[in-house]
Amino acid sequence: MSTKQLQHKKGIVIYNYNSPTVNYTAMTEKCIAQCRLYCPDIPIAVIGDKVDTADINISHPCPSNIHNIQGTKVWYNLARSSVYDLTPFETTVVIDSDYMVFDDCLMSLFDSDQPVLVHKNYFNVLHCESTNLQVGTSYLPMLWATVLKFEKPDENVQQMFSAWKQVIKNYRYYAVMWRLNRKMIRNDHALTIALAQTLDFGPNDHCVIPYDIVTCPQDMTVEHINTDHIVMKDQHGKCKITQSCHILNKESLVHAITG
Amino acid sequence: MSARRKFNLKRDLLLLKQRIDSQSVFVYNGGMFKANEHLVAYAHTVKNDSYILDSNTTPVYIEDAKDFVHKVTQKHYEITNEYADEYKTITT
Repeated sequence: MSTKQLQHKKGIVIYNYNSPTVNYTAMTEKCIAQCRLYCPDIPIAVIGDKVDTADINISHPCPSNIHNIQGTKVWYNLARSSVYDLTPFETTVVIDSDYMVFDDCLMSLFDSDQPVLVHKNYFNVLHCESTNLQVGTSYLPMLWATVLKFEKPDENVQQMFSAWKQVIKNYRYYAVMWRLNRKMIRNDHALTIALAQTLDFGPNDHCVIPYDIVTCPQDMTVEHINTDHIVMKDQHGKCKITQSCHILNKESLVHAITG
Repeated sequence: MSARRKFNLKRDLLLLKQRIDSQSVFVYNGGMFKANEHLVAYAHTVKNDSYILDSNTTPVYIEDAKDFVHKVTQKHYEITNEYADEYKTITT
């Protein structure tokens, strides 16, 4: 991609930090390949471990964190709140590397005038239901940090990211306050609390992407993945998904990508 | 039809609905709209140089109502045809 194109006002950012158990680079490479297909001419920046297929690589240290999904494992998810400072774009869509793009829906986010857009509802492919989660035991609906569009420079957006950093920094406090799992820092929770603080706990409907994020939970494994679909498997059998989706079982995704 | 087949059919149809729902979103003058049957009907009542609310209840200025109607109907028929094709594939 030419320097002129890289200076586009809009771009996609993906975080990539390999962990001892998951080859995130393989996922990120696949994620970039899919974005190239469905979001052509949109530059892609990778923050963290270098990926050759990215247009821009941004080195940035990230402290380790642990999660307890199917055993205690290390992951590196604590740098997400720095994306406002690190992004080279004015309009950024930051996506998780396990968000597989199979349609052009991300393109509409770039064209929207809303300075912040995130998913609230999710479609659970295993249970076939559209629902949302709450932050801890509160009634505050959780927002998903998996796909996040934001504008820069914007005072309110900057304030939200500052609040996000503070929540991450003082997570033990917020975990007690909101009754969260204090052993696992979740960006979804931190983002939700940060946006709520920025909006003075008022309505956040204007920040919500008006369709569900399709999510395949941990109990679904990836059977195979192609450029236009992914086949998932669970106790009910196989299911073919032809739209962008969030794959929570990262190990099986990496296995399907690397063969 | 077996219970497993029924479940998979239901899931495939729900996934199709999700796909169509996301594909129906389009941006017009910075606002996000869903090209569903409600918007198709409503679009015909919009007048030039007026404001309407988008999917996020944000006011969006419509300068050329005819152009807006054209965009909405075009998108609606596009996704409805896609839905019909996929529906046939899933159910037959």
